[in-house]
Formats: sequence, structure tokens, C-alpha cells
Amino acid sequence: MNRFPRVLLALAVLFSGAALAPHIALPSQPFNWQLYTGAYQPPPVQIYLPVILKLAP
Amino acid sequence: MLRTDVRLPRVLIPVTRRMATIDRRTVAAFSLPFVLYVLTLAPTVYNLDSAELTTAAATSGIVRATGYPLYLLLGRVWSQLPIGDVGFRMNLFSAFTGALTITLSERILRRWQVGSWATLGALGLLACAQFFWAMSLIAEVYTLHTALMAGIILLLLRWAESPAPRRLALVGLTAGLGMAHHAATVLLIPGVVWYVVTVAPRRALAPRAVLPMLAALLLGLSVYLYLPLRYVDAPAFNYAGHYDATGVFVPDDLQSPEGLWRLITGRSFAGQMLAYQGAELLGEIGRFGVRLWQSFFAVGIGPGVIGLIVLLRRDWRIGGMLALMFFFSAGFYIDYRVIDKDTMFLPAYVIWALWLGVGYQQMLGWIHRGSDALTRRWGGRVLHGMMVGAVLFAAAWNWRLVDLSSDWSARARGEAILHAAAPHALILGWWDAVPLIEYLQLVEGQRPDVQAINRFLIAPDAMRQLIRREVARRPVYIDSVPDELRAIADAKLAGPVYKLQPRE
Repeated sequence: MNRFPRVLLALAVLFSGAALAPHIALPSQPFNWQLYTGAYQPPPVQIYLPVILKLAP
Repeated sequence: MLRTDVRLPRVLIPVTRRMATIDRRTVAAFSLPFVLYVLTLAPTVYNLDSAELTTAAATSGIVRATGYPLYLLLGRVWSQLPIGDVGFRMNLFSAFTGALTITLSERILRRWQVGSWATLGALGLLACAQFFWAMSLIAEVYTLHTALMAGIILLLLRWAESPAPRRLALVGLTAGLGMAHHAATVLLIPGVVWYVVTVAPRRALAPRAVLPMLAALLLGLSVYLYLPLRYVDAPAFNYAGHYDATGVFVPDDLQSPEGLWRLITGRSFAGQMLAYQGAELLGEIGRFGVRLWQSFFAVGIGPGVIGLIVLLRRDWRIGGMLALMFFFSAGFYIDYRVIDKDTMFLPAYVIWALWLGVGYQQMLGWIHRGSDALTRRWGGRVLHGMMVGAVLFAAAWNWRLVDLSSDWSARARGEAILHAAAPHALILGWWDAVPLIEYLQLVEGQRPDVQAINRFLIAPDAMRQLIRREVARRPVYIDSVPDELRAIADAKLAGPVYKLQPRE
């Protein structure tokens, strides 16, 4: 009686992670150094335009 | 008559006994990932940290925080191998330590009675996980870190079988070496202390056990002496310091306790630690979950959770140790604001793979217990097939994403910059330019007339003053031109960099 439930339970656990498949894609970005070129350099200074407009006389 | 009873020196007897216990499973655990990594290995020096680490190891130099002295010492020896160029050799070192991590993890799973199929399925997914694979192909610190971590766990399990002071001292020595390699080994300490204190508190805390353990820990940590000793010799490659406005390198004083402490604790990266709060932190946790799911190709998630639960129920001491190690390792890097942190989760992946092996074995047990012969036979075969199929799928899928066997781009970039540079030039650039130039200069002897300065090591104001001073005296190049420089000099593209010329 319990032969199939045990196999099915194992398969259900094995594929439980696949429940997230609609929300997560398999890795697709190739690994290369160009991905991390700016890792430790300061970001460029960003100026928020509305602030400048507000300060303008 | 020929003598056949060759006597070995007494010191070699334990070694030969240990060799005799190496079986086909261990050989496969090392050779399968090692061959995979060699086939996809970067053929020469790689870029960014890799070029920095390779150059420092080959020239007995000093790298930026947290110093990595054990890596530099081992790398110095490894870089003498008579195979390929020095860049290739140091990439091969990562392949070796990556395969060593898998081998030691196999020994751990064997102690928990995890069978060959479950071990192959779990460690195969770890070996083929995108970032574990990628970090085994270039000179990097991560696979040596995971090998030492697996070594610490294995030695703890050996000690728990028979809690002798000598075995605890070996744990201390490996933990000390681990910290002398990567400061993140500290994140494993709560798990280690938990295990030691819960398994045999009286024997572990007795002076005759604690004192040798502390002595061995200090012996491992003594590798840090490499840093002040090399500092005294003023090595040609030194990233612990800064350049002043005249272009002179000012090294941090690594002979002072403060200077050494600042380097090994990574004080310069403190601003990036514990950097997220609230919703941002939740987002980072989610991103880690996605990475874990992708690394274990979805099929490793459910069985990994089962393995975590089974291990906690079977032996709460071991289960608690691994949970603490996972929590602290993953938690620290989840809350670390750097863009390359995907490469830093490898210790958490190793622990997940151990849980996965236990989970797979549990699932095989479900099928084998209480089933009839037919179900046992076919159910087992189906599960074996799926475990191995997932590994083969991961290998095939990730191969094209990580394969660096024909990637000469880093060397080409370094050589193109040097080719574009006029004699006695000054080159200012970030990590993707300057460590490569330094590798070509210091390791291969190319263009010693050129001075290269990593912009990471010079303050923006000092760099502006330096350019203002030097641009009229010698050729000056920069990899990207900040706006504030345009008032000082004109920039003209010269190969992969810009040549700066004084403004008329």
C-alpha cells in the first residue's frame, strides 16, 4: 500500500524547489571580470535637479 | 636472494597508512571536479583581484585588507610549478583547492553514513554551482577558504569521536591557519565553540586541552607575521598604503600593532559592512535565496531543507554547529554592500551541500524502508538517475557561463595599455587596468619604465595635484576621465586609455 506514497514523497521533495520556477530563472549571465569592473570605485556624484531648481533665486 | 621487506622510516608510517585509506570514492571526489576545472580554467592571468593576488603571491608582496598571508605564502610556493605562465599556475591553485573542498566534504558525508549516490548528487551540484565553479578557475581566495572550512568541520568530527587534547589542538591549528588566510573564518567560530562545548565541555575546557589548543591556534595565526616581515623589506608590490600627491607610495606601518590590526580587520571596508536595514535587508535576503536556488538548480532546495532538519534531529550538536556556521556566513555577506558578493557565499553553499547529501540519503531511506523489492529497486534507480541527471544538467548549463579556457582578455587589455603608453609614462587606473600592468611588469619584466598607480590607492585630490604636476613633465594616461580633470587637461583616446595633455 505504501510503496507509491514513499516514492512520490521523495519526488515531491526533490521537485519542491521547482515551485519557485515561475518566479526565478536559471542562471543566464556569463561570469567574467567585466561584471565587476566598478566594484571598488566610488559612484559618480549625482545631483538631484529639483533641489537645484529650488535653491535657484 | 632479493630483499622484499623494505622498511619505511618511522615518520612515514602514519602517512602511508593514511594513503592506504584513500579509496576510489575519495579519488573520484577529487579528480572529477579537478578535471572539470582544468578543462575550463583561465589560461593566463585574470583580471581585478586575481591579477592583484597573482602578482603579490609570485613576488612575495602585500595585498589590501585583510592581507591573506597564508594565501600569499602558499601561492609563492605554488607559483614555482613548471607549468604554464604564473597567472595560469595561480588559477590552477584555485582549481586544486576547489577540488580539495569537494574531497574533504566527501569525507564529512561519509562519516554521516551518506552513500555514494547521495554524495555524488550533492557534491556534484556544489562543484557545478556557478560561482563555486567560477571561483575555482581564477586566482582567488575563496576555494582555499572553503577547503580550510571543510577541514575544520572534519577535524571537529574526528575530535568528537575521541576528544583527545591532540585532536582539539589540530582544530585550533586549522582554525588559526583559516583566519590567517581569510578573516571570514571568524564567522565559523560560534559554530565551532557551540560544538566543542556541547560535545565534551569538561574535556574541552580542561587546561590540558585548552592550553595546547590555544597554542596551536596562535601557531596558525603566526602566519600573519608574514605581513610585518615583508613590510620591512619594502616589497615592489604593496597594496597596504596610499600614494601621495607627488606619486610616492606611503606604506601603512605594518610593524605597528595599529597598522597591522587596521589591515587584518578590513577597517577600510567597514563602511560596507552591516549596510542594509528594513526593506532593503529583506531584499538582500531574497536575492541570496535566489542565488541559492540557482546554485543548486531548484532540485537541491527541498532535500537541503530535509537534510537540515534530519541532521538537527539526529544530532543537535552537529546540526546546531552547521546552522550557526551557515547563519553567520550567509548573514554577514547578505548585509555587506559590495557588487561582487555573489562570489562570497561559497562557505554557505558548502554547508548547504552537506545538508543536501543528508537529505538525499534520507529520501533514499524512505524508499528503501518498508517497500517491496520492486519499489526499492525502481524507486532507488529513479532517484539515483535524477540526482545524477541534475548534476549533468548543471554541468552542461553552467559550462557555457563559466568556461574561461579561451579567455585571454585580461592579458590582452594589460598588454594593449602598455603598448599604448609612451616611455616613462604615468598610468592611473582602477582594478581592471593597474593590477594587470603590475603583473606584466613585476612578474614578466615588461616595461619597467612605466609607473602605474591604482586609483583605489590615491585620494581624488592627491590624484588631481599629481596630474597637474606631471602632465607637463611626462606622458600621463588614465582609464576614465572624471569631470573635474577636464579643467586641468585635455583627454585624447590612446588605445584602451586616455592620454592627458596640458590645457592650452
